[in-house]
Amino acid sequence: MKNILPELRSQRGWTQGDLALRLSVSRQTVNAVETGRYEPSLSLAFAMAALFALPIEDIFQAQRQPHRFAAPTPDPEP
Amino acid sequence: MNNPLNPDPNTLLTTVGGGRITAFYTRPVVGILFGLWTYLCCLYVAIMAPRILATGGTREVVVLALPLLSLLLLACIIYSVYRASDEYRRHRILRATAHTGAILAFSASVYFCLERLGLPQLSMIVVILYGWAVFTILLLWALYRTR
Repeated sequence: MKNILPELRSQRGWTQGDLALRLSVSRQTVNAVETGRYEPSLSLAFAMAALFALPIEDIFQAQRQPHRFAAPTPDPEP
Repeated sequence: MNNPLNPDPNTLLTTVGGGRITAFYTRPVVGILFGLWTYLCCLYVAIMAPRILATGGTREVVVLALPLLSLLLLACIIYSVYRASDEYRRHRILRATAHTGAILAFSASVYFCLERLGLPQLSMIVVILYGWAVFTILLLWALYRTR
């Protein structure tokens, strides 16, 4: 999952620690989310969206890889 | 940055090695180490009790109840650390638990094969100590990585 948290943070002149403090999480959590090592929970994503006053989908862009054992997607109707 | 005049009450040791490692000996880490130390002491007492105490109710209580109660204390400390953690740290703690299970299962399988080749049968106490050692190392590593 890609995100624009570093850009949003730097626009406001916040460090990862500042953002972590505002979200009541650890700095490592912010770091892990920003670097894509951890996908935040819905509640944390909503908190981020509320903090930056942006919709969640503007902050996070899904990069869904098809699951290896997922059923094949049906062909679109003609 | 920690202010030395107003230290963070959640941190016992703020910086080590010129500030490179920050706030590792926090309450969770100290609590887990204390719980593990208590457990190991109780285990030692339980092992030594049959040699010291005469057969009777007291000996049975010491051998059976002491390790179990200290294990319960350790489990409560770890659970309280889990409850007090944010979601990323919880994720790392759960991952440490899963890795411990995988390492134990793999080690048990390997030693089963080695037993067939002639190595001695191990006591359950060795397996328990090995499991807790692995879990503690992984747990402390998870706490260190999410400090």
